[in-house]
Amino acid sequence: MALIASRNMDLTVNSVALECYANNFEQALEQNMVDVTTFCDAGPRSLVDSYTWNAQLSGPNDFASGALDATIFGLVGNAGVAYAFQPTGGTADTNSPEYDGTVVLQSYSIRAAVGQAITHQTRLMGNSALTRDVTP
Amino acid sequence: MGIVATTPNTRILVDGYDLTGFVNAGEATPIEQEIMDGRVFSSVGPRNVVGNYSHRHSYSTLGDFDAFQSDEFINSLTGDDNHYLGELWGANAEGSLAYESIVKLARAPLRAANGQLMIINTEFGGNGPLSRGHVLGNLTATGTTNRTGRNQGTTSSTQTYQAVIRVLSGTFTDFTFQIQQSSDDGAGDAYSLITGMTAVVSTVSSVVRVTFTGATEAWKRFAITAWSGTNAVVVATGGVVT
Repeated sequence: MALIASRNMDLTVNSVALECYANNFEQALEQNMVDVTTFCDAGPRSLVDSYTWNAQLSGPNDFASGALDATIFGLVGNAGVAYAFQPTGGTADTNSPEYDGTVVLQSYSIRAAVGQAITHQTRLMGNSALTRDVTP
Repeated sequence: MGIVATTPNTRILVDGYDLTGFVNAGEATPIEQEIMDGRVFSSVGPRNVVGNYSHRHSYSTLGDFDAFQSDEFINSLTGDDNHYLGELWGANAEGSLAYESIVKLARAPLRAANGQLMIINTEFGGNGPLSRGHVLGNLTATGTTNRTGRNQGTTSSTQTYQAVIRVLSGTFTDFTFQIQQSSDDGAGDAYSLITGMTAVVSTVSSVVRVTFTGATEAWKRFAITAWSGTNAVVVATGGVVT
């Protein structure tokens, strides 16, 4: 088992690399569990309906042209853009998966405080199936 | 501009008032979109439809109870009126990024605690569109002037371009401003007034918002075309309404 440091990750949204604007990231997939437990069941019993997924990133903001703020604000009103997350960085292969899908912007926050860098918190919501690609 | 620190160049402007000198922390959620679940039986994974958006802004504001300071100003925002909120994050020089929002005061609880300054947690809720644009003018005006043009891109016939002009302080009788356009920064196509984007300003601590809906040329600039008085601290922003 290969353990990897978070700093190796790559994140691309709408063809823009965003890993340099994040020091926290989470990709979450949540399955919709439907409770079908009956009187004769020992313990719970569930069926999986469908799933949703989202990605959240936060870190220092960058207001330069083509950087974080411009990229994320450009997603306002967009019906969906390409998303790719590589936990290990580099090209996809059997030991380096790439998660691919389409996302829409759910929310975008800018935070500032005396003595601190201006930061962002961005939440993207999945708008397609999430695929795990291990094909070189 | 790369990754920015917050001080000392961030500016928080509410109507014609510079709130910056009282703010020690702030959070703006410029955009929160309506996401509607459009999944059907045949969907694999999620399917969402994007609707409208909302925005909200909150600031930790030091409570200053002297005349014309933060407490008096924030209290004056109560009521049903719209206000123009300008947020210049990390930089305020001409050409810097500028967020402009139409807001109403949502709440402003005043908090006190042992060993701490009194804080007014000022929260604004969006009540109109938001614009992400640039600072077109940030100057102490003493006469007529043409500021540097900025390439903000053209607008289509259905888009609205706005400018917000604030006079923060000064001693003057009045001045006339224009928001002008050019296809090539005046190289061959002289700057000319964008229809309707002009006004006469005669009041300190005031704000004017002018808009134009329709096609505009890529380069925009702020100009003071007539002047009477000594000086005025003016901040002008311009951008496309989202």
